[in-house]
Amino acid sequence: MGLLNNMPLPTFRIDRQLNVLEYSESAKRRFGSQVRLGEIVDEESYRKLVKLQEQSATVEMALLTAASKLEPFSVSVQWEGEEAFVQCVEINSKLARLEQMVYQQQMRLAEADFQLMEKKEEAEDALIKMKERSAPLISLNSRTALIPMFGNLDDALMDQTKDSLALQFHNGGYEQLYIDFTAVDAITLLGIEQFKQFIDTLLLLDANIHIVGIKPVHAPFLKDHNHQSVTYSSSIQLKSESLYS
Amino acid sequence: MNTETIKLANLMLEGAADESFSLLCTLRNEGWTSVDIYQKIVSGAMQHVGELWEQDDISVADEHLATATCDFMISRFHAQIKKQPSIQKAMFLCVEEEQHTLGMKMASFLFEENGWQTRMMGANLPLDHALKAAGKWKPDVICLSVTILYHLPLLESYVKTLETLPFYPQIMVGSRLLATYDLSPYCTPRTIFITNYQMLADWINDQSEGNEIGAS
Repeated sequence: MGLLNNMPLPTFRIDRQLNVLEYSESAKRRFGSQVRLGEIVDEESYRKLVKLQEQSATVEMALLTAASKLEPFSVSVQWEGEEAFVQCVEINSKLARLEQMVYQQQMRLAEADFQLMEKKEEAEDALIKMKERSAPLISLNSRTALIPMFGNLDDALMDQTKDSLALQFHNGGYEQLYIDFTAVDAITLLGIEQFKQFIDTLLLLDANIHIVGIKPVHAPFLKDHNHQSVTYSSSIQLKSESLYS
Repeated sequence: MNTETIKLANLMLEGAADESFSLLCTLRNEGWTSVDIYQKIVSGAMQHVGELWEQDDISVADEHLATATCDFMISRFHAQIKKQPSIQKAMFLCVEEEQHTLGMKMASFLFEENGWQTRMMGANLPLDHALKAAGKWKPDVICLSVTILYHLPLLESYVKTLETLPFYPQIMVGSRLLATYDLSPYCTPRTIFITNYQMLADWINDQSEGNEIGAS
């Protein structure tokens, strides 16, 4: 009796029906005075209790403490005939604290990650808008439109603009189209490939196309094509009456 | 339980955050809705983890790792989803001593996907703190989460006190206990019980179709 009573860990002596025959002072402090072991075992740990009833083993169980809180314990049972000793060891709360800290760090990293991702999306949206505005279609009169192109004539620029420009040209009912290269910097192979497809589309829409503002550096990219009806000049020369027609 | 659910449970038990996230993204690309992903896949996987613990196949530490992985995974998954700004507000909290936040986190994500502003007050929030926070922010909806049977007596005081707030918030209770227990004795006739995410999504859609809050 004395030995069990002074056990530092909560300890019970039980029978096969899980009646509590004796408990330590530490068990009383942690779980209150119990008559049956099952009374402090959470419903979701019953399957493990059945296992402990049949054999000596160590399992983790959720136990109801004297403070009416469910807490995880490592419960060890040692059977000797029809009686067993049960010892309950609280699962180290330090572990939970460490896990919490790791998780908080993980979330801080993730938040930084999520913010970066959002910024990246914003930057991508801004780039798309910038590209869209790098080749606007300006109406000069009811028959004539101008597309001044800005920046690099690349795949991204043509991807973002060519369909919408062709649609605007068609919907506007224009016949003449000036494409101004004055503000074009570099030209890429993929960019010029798409540009040629854009010209193909416009020709099918019966456009009279004039490419103006060509610089020597642009010429090699424009020389291999079969757009016979497209005209080229170094600057825009509109007849004054055409602006008012 | 389908194979994806078991696969996700195993990945979470290994702490494989990236692979778990990829699995959700794959399902999304295959056309799964958020409601089904949260209900059938994520909740299903966490239930499976719980069952493994009940069968003594895994330890508490394994379960904690799976929970942390799951929390991280759903947060990352939700961060990808575009949200529409709205003026409607929903606040989420667990009653005192309640530590399980995953369920209400997924509920808050569904609100956000539908344009609501949300505020997660987290686990184990004492009633007076909840009252002050709600009084200041004035949410249209206050969602309470409780998963442990022993915490039910507390639920009643939360529901009744929060319902007395002058801006008449709609109180919602989400709990896995609803599958087996009648929680109405702990609540009021106005309280809405959410037994699954489809039901929640339907309620949110009802609000955006112009029905008044609290009318359902």
